Amino acid sequence: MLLVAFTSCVKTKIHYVDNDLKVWFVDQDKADFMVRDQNDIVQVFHVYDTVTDMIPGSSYFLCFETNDDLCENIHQDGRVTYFVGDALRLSITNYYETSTHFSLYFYDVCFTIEVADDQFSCSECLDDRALVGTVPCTMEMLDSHEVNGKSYQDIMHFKITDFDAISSRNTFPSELYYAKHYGPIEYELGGKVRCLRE
Amino acid sequence: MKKFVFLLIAFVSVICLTGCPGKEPEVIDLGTIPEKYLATVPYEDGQTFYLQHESDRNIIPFKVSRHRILSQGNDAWGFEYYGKYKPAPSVYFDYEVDVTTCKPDYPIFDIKLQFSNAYMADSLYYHQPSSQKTAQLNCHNLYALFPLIGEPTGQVTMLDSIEVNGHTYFDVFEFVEEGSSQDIDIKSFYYNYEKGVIAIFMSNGEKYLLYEEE
Repeated sequence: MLLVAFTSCVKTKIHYVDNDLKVWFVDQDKADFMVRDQNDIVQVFHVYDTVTDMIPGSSYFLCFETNDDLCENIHQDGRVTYFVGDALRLSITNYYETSTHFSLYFYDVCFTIEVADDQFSCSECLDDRALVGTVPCTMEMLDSHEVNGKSYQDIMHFKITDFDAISSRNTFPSELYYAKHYGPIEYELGGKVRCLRE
Repeated sequence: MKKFVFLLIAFVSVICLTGCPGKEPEVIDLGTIPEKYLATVPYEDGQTFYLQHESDRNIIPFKVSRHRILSQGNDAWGFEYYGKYKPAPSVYFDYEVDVTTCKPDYPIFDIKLQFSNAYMADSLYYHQPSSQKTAQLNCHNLYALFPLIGEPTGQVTMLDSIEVNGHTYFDVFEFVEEGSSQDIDIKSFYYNYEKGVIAIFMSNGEKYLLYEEE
């Protein structure tokens, strides 16, 4: 009887991604842009529109299912000249209101960013290509950063300090400035090739 | 009598279900790639060559990796592909594939050259008429074939000579890519048997030119 009472009360609950986090996706009017390195070699970025999925799950209380949950996942991919596959992917998922998964893939690495009380932090990134665990990095939030005479607001600045990992591949980003609404604005590959957004 | 008929039917059924033992397929060894064809890709394993980015005189080293791989193919691919009829392959061919990969010490394109002696097998799916023995060239958006012997066809033309970085190169294949996209693509690619990659022109006007020390 009790079981029937519990199961009949199962409701579908949708956990949406916080609107404040959606500003980190690249706006579609800024999705095509060029970067130029210090040797004047130019590459073109194309960032696709965001895709939204609902990840199914359930909540329980005393072994009884209380909710059919749907966790919203929004992700956005981008490619760049010469890099095989997607060079950029931002994925944000709201898991049961208890945690937000915020992952930023850039070239060979994946930064997993912890979000708590509107504070962002990241102390290590996954070497996504080598599949051999994590690499230490630092992350700081900047109010603004200037690139090619243009000032960008609200920046995530990542820096990888493991020189062996950086020097092993030209597609390993040693530093990244990522701006709200814009995406990558400045980065360095392999510790030697610095690229600036035009 | 009934027992005999039953046994006969059972015997015939077993034969039908298991089938007759197949004939062992024949294996033909096509041997090694002739030296004259190997020479059409003038790179050695471990070698480094240099392309110069014209706009800033940036010199990019390309490290060469070259290997020959033994491979095997059969003569039934065409039937299998169309899904209408798939006979057991009656002939297998052992052949060599020569693969050259050029990796830059810079975040730009790789260059890959590949060819085999599978053309010697008339029915092999890699088969090309003997007048069109070709090598594959892959680089960024470019996929092209150039002849190991004979005259170029299709998108490939032969230039008598081209001058690059103060050097004159003769008998140069020119590959022109006519497609257009929003990305920066290879527009034309220049190659000869003697030096390999000579120049690459991009759709945005950038040029990569063979750099040879004086």
